[in-house]
Formats: sequence, C-alpha cells, structure tokens
Amino acid sequence: MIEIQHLTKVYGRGAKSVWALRDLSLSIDEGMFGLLGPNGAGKTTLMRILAGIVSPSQGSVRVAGHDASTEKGKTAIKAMLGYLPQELGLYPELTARQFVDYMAILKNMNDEPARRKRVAEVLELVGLAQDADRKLKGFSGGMKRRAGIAHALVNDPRLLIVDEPTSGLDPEERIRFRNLLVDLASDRAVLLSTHIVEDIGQTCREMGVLSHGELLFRGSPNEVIGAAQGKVWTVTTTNGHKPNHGMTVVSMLHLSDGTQYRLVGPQPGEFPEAQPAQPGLEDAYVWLMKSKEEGARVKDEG
Amino acid sequence: MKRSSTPLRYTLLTYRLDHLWLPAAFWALFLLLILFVPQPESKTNMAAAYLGGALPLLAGILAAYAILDDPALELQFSSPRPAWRTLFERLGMILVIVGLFAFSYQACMALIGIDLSPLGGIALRQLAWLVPCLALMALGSAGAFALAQPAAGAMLVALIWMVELLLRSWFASNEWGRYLFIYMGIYAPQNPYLIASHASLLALSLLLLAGSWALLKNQERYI
Repeated sequence: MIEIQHLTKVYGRGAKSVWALRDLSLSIDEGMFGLLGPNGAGKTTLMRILAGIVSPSQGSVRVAGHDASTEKGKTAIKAMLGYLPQELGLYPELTARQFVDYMAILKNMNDEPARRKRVAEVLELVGLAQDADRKLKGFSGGMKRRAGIAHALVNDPRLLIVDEPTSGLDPEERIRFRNLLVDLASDRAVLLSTHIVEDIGQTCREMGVLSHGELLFRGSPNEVIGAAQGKVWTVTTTNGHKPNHGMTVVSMLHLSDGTQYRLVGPQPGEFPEAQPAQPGLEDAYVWLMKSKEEGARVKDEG
Repeated sequence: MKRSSTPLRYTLLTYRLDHLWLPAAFWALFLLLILFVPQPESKTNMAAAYLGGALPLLAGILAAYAILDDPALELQFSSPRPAWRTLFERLGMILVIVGLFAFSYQACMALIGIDLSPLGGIALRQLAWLVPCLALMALGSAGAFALAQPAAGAMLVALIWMVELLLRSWFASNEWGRYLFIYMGIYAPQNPYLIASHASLLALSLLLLAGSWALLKNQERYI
C-alpha cells in the first residue's frame, strides 16, 4: 500500500533549515500500522507527506502506486484517503451531519442521495447518530474526534491516516476510539501515529519507531519487546533513595515496606538485589530510545 | 471526474460570520454621517467614499482572511478539491457579500435622495466600487499567501489603500500612477483615462489571483 524510499524532508533553507525526516525507507501493507515516537520525531511530517499535503525534499513516496511528489499523484492519493490530523479544526456552526456532508462534497461525492445515506452510516458507525443534528461547538473532545473520524471514513478510504487521535481523550473515550480503529483496519490500511505507547500495544501488529526523523525500528511489538529482554529490572528501596545511575525509572510503586522502582538499562550495579523483570512495550520503547541516545553520545565523544 | 460545487449554505456556515460585522458597521456609520452632513455635495462625496473607498478596503481585508483563517484548513487541504476552486468559491462569496452591501447602499441613497450621478451612469457607478474591490481583494489574497499570514495580507491592503488615498492627486495625474489608481472612479470619474485605469487594475487583479492560485497550491506553507 505504501512504499517509502530514502525519504528526506527539510524545512527552510541554509543555516535555519530543520531536518524533519532523514533518509527514511519503509513499506506498509494493509492492516493497522503504528508509528511511535517522541514529540518532534517527524511523525506529523510523515503523515502529511502521505496525505499529499507536504512534499518530500528527496526520495520517493508511493501510495497505492501514486507518486506523492506530483500534483496528479497527490490528487489521486487524496481521493482514496481518510485523514484525521493532530490539530483537528472543525466548523463550530455546523452540525455533525452537516460537517460530514460538507467534507463528502469536498471529496467529490456528488450523488446526493447516496452521500446522505453514507453520512448517516458513518455517523452511526462512530456512535454519533443520536447527536448528528447537534452543532459541533457543543461537542466534547471525544465527540469531536469521532466526528473527525466520521469525516475521514465517509469516502470509504483505502488508507486511513490518524495522527495522535487519542491525545486529550479520557480513558473511556480512548479505549472506544482504539477499538473503532481496530475494527476499521480489518479491510483497509490504517496508519496510527502517536506518542502514547499503550495505544500501539493495544492495536497494532506492525509498528515503527521514529526519532529525530530517523526510523529506529520496524517490526512487531513482540520483536521490540524481545530486544529489551534483560534490560528491565525492579528494585525496592526502603530509604526513599531513587536509583538513577545510568538507569531510567519507568514507574514506581509505593509498598508498605518501601518503594519499588521499575528500571530500564544495564544491570544496576549499585543495587545487586535488583530483580530482572519481563519487559512490556513501554519498557522496550524506553530502552530503544535510551540506546539511541547513548549511541549518539558515544559517536559524539568518539 | 464530475465536480460538485459547494452548496451556498455550507459556504456561509463555514465562513466566519463575525467578519461581516465590519462592513455592516461601516454601512450604518456612513449612512448616519450622510444624514447629519448638511451640504448636498458633501453627502454625495460621503456616499462615494463608502462605495469606492471603505468597501474596497473591507473587501481586501476579508479576502486576506478568506482561506488561511479557515479553522479546518488542514482538512480542506487533505481533500482532492483543486486550489483554484477553493479560491474561486471563497473570494466569490466575499464579492457577493460586498456586492450586496454596495447595491443596498445605493438603493438606500436613492431612497433618501442622494444624487450619485457625478460618479457617472449606472454602469460606471458599479465599476467605481467593483474594480477597486477586485483589485484589493486580489492584493489581500496574494499578500496573505505570499507572506503566509492573513494579517500580513490585510496590512498590505491597508498600506496601499492609505498611500493611494494620501497621494491621490499624484496617482490621478501621473502617467503610470493612474493605471494603478484604485480611487479613479470616485475621485476623477471624468478623467479620460478612467476606462484604461479600470482595465489595467482588472488585468493586475487577474495576475494577482493567478499568483494566489499558484501560491495556494503549495499547501505546506500554511499549516
């Protein structure tokens, strides 16, 4: 579905230029693909390139065979695309039904009876049928996100791109939204970009990790977890002393006899009683980012 | 592929209707001023100032904000709709709104007995507001896209409007300035170069609109 070869994106020119993506190569098939990375990793730039909004500086991007660097290719991609951006701006005076209908018109859905039927279907799908005729300005954050996904689905897209969709949602809305995305991925490609590890772990079979515009990892969540085997530890301290020598504290648990820390890093020498723990996706992500940082530091010192 | 036009109700509902308070307020303000000014000649000048001065300024400012101020700009950009169509629909709606204010103002002037004949016949009277409106709309739009800021486009419109107002005598008489003079229709309607001035402003407007279209295609500059 998506073929990316040596993709580079640079904003600005000269000394003020910012490298958003560096020599990125990646292929994505149908199903749910998660893209994980810290803020500023280049995820949104990649999403926008795939959506035909931003042009690559170098390299090639093909979506279902269409070249994302040409006007003709971008138009073809947009016609088969559903896109939910990170900053979801809506029209407050429109009702949910009007908003999705308006967006369907922009997507060249010209047959009015068929369009209205489809609008009703997608509003039902995202659980907004009861609120379809309420103005968007009265919607909660979660309802606005659902209206956004309804708009993204109205043209029955082959590719659905969702950028940080669960930011700002309460836990219940997040779970509901994740389940909806999994359902949608059964018959199309869904690309989920997020910095929330849990969202990827709960939904994606394939994932990539992006940092500073580079792809650090591409594979399954189990593979990245496997790479962190032997790097996750638990340490219980009774004096409140927080372990910090080369280790990253992922979480801490207050117990009756002290505080238990979950650490990521090599064997914590100052705590010989440290117990190895089974890594989760969040631990593995922290280990991956930590390895990258240490690799960069060694390179700089060398 | 067949393309549908956006229904008028959506064009209106997605437009920032609060922007319309400004032309409406000016409409009422100029009407009040005319009612309180005693001399008939001053009344005519005041009416002309709204049509050929205030209205084009407001049209230019509204045009600068017409697209880049859209709250769902990224969603608009993710649709396969071509840039020229978005530009045409948004600026076209502003022109319709400005036209409604212009016609209703002229109707109101006729009702209260203000003579607008010094501006010329009916056709020339319409050109006196339409041409500067188009010129400043094109300038506001191109400026906003070139500087990637609606406020910058609006400032550019205000600057040109002010410079031409202050130097109106020079613009009306200079052999090059008169072809860029937006107030010719109200300031010197008897000038033999009036039609040539209108024609050059229209041509310039088309060039600026073509520039706006080309700039709007480069969507990544605006998100």
